Amino acid sequence: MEKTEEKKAILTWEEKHPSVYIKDLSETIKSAKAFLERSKEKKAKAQFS
Amino acid sequence: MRFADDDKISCLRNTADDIIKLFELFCGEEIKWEKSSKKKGELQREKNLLTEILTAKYNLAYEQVNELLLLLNQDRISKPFFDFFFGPNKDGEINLDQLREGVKKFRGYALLKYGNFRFAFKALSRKNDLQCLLKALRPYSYTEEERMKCYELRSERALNITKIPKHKTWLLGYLTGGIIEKDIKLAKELNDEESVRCLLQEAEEYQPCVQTADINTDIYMTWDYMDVYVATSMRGKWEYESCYDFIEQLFSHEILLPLKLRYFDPTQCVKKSRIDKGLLESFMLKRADCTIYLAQEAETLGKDSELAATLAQGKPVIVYVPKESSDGYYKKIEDYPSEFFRRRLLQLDAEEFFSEPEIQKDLQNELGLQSVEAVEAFLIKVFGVLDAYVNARIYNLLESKRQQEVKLNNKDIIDRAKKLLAFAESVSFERKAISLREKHPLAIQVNLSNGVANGVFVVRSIPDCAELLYKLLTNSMEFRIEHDAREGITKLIESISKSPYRVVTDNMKLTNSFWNFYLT
Repeated sequence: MEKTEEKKAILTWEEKHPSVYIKDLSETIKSAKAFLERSKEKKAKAQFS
Repeated sequence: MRFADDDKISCLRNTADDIIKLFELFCGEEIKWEKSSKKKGELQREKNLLTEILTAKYNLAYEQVNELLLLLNQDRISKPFFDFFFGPNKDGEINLDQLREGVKKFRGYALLKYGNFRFAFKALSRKNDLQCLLKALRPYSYTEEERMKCYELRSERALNITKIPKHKTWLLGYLTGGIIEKDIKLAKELNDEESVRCLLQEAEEYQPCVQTADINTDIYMTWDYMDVYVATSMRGKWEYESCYDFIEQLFSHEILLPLKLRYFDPTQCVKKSRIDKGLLESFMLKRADCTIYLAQEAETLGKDSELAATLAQGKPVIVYVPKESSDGYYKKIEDYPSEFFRRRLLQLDAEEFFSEPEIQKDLQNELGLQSVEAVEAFLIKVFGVLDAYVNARIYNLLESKRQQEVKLNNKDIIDRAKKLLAFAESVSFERKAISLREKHPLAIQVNLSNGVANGVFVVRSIPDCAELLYKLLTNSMEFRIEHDAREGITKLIESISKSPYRVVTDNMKLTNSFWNFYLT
């Protein structure tokens, strides 16, 4: 865990000064859901194997 | 509107010299008998004539006031002007008190509408019709009853906004979408399932919230009138929530409810791009009758520009500077994120706030420390802990385990840092209020269409803000006209805010040059 914590979600200057203010997060939501689904499947597989 | 003065007028008596002074204040220029009456004897002769009128008559009729004016080499005034400002009795006469009160009233309206006594006298004294006079004094000539009637007769909105709850308003921040996106991306890379789940929840709340706010913005644009624009600067969750609370408390105040006010609430709307946002806000500033500016811990270009744009249109700005005691402010900010404390303490440190001798003394008392050195050592420790907290950050929206550990292991220091900031902010707000009320040159700007100086009203509580807003919109404000010999200006001071709303300078060169470019 210590090792992975070195990564940080720090915003770049560009990200801090966007010219478009409304984001469409539908793709982000879809991919987060897919990630959680995959994790769930992995856990289920690990349980059965 | 009610006008009092600093006794400059009230103390003038029924003597030739005092009456000359009174008429100088009325006509807006020095009465130059010396120049017109070249011989010494002539001057005395004119003064004797003046004394003759004053001693012979206790009350003055309209015609006699004009005879006095002509004797003083000034223009006559019209009957409607005399009636409106001096309010004669049923015999059409006025006594000395009414004369003094009338001059006060005239000077008050002159400051409000013209920002200039001489031009106001020239322009208004010739109005031969009461309606023309009232029209020239608009909007200040409407009575409180007339204004109230207009407000009460207002219809309900055809469309109303959908209220976004307080805890969700921060989702409308212009960085929020990007932050959620970035955090989710990293959480996936780190295979951090728990964080992805938490962040997904935020993302799912973001989408409908932004859509609602976008529709709200469209609804604001359809409203047939807009009374108040609220100028604020919001990035963090705490700023959205604090602004939300202020707006809720202000506009639900019982004194304002009968007015059926419509206001542009920045916590309830969003626009797609920076260009649309800029255009929308400029449009709202054009439509609203006044602006309420929220003074916050730090000010921004956007908010300050909104203040300036309102003043330049000749519209009023009420600046709300919260009056916070150290303890009260501590309670308010107790749950704010540690990053907020770090940022504010760094800003104050960069301004050398903690190096000021009187602040160091107060800090010793606040923090229970014995010496200046102990205060400095404490500050170094605080910044060390807050730096460690920030360095342990992974996500923007979630606290990492290491951050939680830093907080837990340094609970006492962080708590004292909050107390330190609460003290610093209470001093900072106090200074901000004094600066805007008494010191800052741009707290008074100019109506660009007519040159009338336009100053901000500074209030320190929500009830004061509500009462002032009511009085402003219903023309029921109370003013005091004061001459400040040190600064060389005459000020129109509003009674609730104790702020100068209008000013006239004594500086002849500036007056002449200035009005040459406005009164053409």
